[in-house]
Amino acid sequence: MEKPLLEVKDLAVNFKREEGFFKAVEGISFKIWPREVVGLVGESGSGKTAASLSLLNLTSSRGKVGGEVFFDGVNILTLPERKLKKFRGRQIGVIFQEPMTFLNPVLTIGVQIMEPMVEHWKISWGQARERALYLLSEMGIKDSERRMKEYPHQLSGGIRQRVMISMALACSPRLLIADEPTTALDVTLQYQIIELLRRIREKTPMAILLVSHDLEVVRELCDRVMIMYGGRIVETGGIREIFKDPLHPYTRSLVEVSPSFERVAWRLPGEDAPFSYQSNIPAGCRFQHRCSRVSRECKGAEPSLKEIGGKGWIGNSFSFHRQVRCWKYQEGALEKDEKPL
Amino acid sequence: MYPFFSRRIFHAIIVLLGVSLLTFVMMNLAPGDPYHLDPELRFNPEAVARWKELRQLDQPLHVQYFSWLKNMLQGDFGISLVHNKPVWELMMERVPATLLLTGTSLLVSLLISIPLGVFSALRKGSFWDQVISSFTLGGVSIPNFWLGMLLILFFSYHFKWLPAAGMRTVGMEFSLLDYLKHLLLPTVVLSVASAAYFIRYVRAGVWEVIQQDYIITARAKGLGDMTILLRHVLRNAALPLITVISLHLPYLFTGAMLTEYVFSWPGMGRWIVSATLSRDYPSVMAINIMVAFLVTLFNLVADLLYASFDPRIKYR
Repeated sequence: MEKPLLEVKDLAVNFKREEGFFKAVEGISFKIWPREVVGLVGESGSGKTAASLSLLNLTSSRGKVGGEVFFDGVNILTLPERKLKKFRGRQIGVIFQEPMTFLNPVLTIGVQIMEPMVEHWKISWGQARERALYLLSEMGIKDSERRMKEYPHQLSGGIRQRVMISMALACSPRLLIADEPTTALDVTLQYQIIELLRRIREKTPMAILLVSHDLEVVRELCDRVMIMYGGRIVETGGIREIFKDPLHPYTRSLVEVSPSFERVAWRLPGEDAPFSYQSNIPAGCRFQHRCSRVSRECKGAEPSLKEIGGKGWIGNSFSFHRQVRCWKYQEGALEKDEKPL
Repeated sequence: MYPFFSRRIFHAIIVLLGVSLLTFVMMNLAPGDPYHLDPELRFNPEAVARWKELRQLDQPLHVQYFSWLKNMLQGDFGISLVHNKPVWELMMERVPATLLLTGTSLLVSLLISIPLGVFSALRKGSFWDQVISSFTLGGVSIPNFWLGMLLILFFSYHFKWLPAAGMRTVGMEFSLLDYLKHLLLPTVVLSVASAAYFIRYVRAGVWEVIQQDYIITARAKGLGDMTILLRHVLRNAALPLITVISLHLPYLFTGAMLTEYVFSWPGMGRWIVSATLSRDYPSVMAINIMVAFLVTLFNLVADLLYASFDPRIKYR
């Protein structure tokens, strides 16, 4: 049986702020198998970006990452920076949300695509150029020779995101982390980029962790999805099951309003961003203030992530299909009258 | 690019014309005349009239101005009233010394400030950052003529390690070491303030750049720290620094004037002080124009550099 490509155990990200520590991500664990596309969904402030960047220890110096991240069996978080660099860009590529600010304004896009290859493969710029041109044309960029010499500000948003993707794919990584790859783009471009990612997904053996607040994008691309709320994973499952039968009240509200995901924020009562500081995190379930089905036990202790239903194949392992963090499903006892819609 | 620079040169010419007009008017408004210092002329109106006629100072002001301008364009800055030599000749003797001093100081202060500023930004808030910050505060606060006198007192008078004055030992054959020895103290004096000033800007600039999203991208690509620093950080941090340097150049020249005076450096600084005191107007005016010319020229160079560093700037 194949081993998981990425195994995250009890990942935590704490940001040091003047007001004290802020736990952006708390105790999340998951696995990604080769060739699998997994979505990580949540609203802004849910910790999804912090979680994805912390996998490569890329959070700012104020962010402290705890827990274990095994990539191909190696715990990369305990590696010294020098060795961790060999994973960044080479084994794991990252696509960022806003291609304008995440591309260096004073370097040509050619240099920015070629540099990881020169760094990791120790090849000449001339050799890297060949591959950069190939990548750009694969991304559907015509006239790649000319584009190589251009600067980010000369490109349109869609082309910039394609450049960003070519950059992440330059060294043929085994895992691609795509942090909101379509959020900064307008709708028509969003679909082009989704199509592009779908094509990449079919052509390469790469696994993808797609971080998004857009359930529709996730539905287009992913096999499996994890829903985050307030720094915790609240539900996981196959993409079809999640849409057909959402268990957690939060997931249900997301699915109900999909595709216009933004509306959840105003449909749900309470603050927009879940919690900004440690002191704001309530005892008990983190979703209690916005939940329509809140009961007394929800305010007592926090429910654990419970495995639900039968086992099945996830990636290449035989394990539980679904997990949910809600008191309604604790103790494995699903009473009939409480069965969700 | 070319239209931009021709327009930029056109602006520079206008600035220089303005400076010339201002200089000319101010010199004419200034109280006192050069012949007041000459006892033979002072009480002899006929001799004064002859003296004025000889130098065409009896002409109306606008005629004087335009003939001065015309002569200047032909490289004739008039005759020094004190030295009785062409001002141009005096200038050519002194400008290289000033450029040598300011150029070396600029180079030295950049060589000091870039590494220290980068270090400070990368270790912001650390013990060494605070040490460097205190030194920069001291550096910008110390008046350089005072620092110059202190250095002369210690290194020349007490320890007798370095010469106190001049650009070379008189009567000695040319030797690079001798030049460097003479250059050392004035360069230190002039560099301290500039370096302190630049460190603060380099630190602020680098600090701002390392917060940018594209630095996360560079780290995510697994690039080495040096590559990130040199290729991604410094190229971006250089942009504000170029502006700061070009704005700082006039101060560097002013500082050089004082420093030269303290160290008897045979540059324009000493000359402008003595020329002003002896009311050697042709020299004073020529120096004004020369300094204005140099500052304008370096600003133009800064613009060119800016363009080569920042592709977002389009010169139209």
